[in-house]
Amino acid sequence: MGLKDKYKELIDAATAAGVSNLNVREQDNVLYIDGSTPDGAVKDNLWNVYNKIDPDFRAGDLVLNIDASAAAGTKAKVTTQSSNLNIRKGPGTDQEIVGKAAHNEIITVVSKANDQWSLIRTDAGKEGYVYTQYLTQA
Amino acid sequence: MKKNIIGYFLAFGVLALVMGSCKGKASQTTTTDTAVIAPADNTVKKMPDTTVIISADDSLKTTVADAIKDFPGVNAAVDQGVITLTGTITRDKLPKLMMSVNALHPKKVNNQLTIAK
Repeated sequence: MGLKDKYKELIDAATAAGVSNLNVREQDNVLYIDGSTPDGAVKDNLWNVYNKIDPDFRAGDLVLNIDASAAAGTKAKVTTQSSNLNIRKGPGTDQEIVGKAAHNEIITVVSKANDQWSLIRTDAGKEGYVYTQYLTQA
Repeated sequence: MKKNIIGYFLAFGVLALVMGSCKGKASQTTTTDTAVIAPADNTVKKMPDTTVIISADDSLKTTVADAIKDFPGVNAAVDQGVITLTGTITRDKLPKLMMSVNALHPKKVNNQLTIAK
């Protein structure tokens, strides 16, 4: 069975949810699915489908990259597990911490520095870089 | 003699014609080349449809360190684009970790984590 067949339910769900720039291709026995959605719930649902097809993500035959991070110029919610989110001077954990955003705090995304880091501003006026995975479009 | 001159003129004329048409062809070819490049450019723009972007190991080592930082007990190794996760994690945190790691453009993710109840 091909990987596109194995993950058909996931691909269909992504298509049905209107994931934009949806890109599905197979290379060296790994399926790569990329796309973006402004809705964090859509991303969570796709990951639930992935978890159902491949329990605990053990097979190592899919790289699922659904970007649900907030776009530049929009508001985002800090969705850490429970802790505060470090705001850093530059894009990297080796960069100095210049402030913190609280769990569930709403902040403004100024721009995206790269795939992993966003430049943000808090309502208190603190500006710096945070790890994009912990931001969800508000 | 007169015949010869006419012959020369004819030959010259034909030559000029041939050269002219060659020139024409040459410029035509250039135009065609440009026209060929245009669709090629479109193909380049469509590349994400077929090309899988895989980050270099150096870049992955940095980004994966950032990604697992908030998951104590989780370790990650990078080799030729493949990220191997080892250590322990609770099942409720696993999807969030996998989301982070999958976003780094790895070639593959080997999840060898032990799930703690």
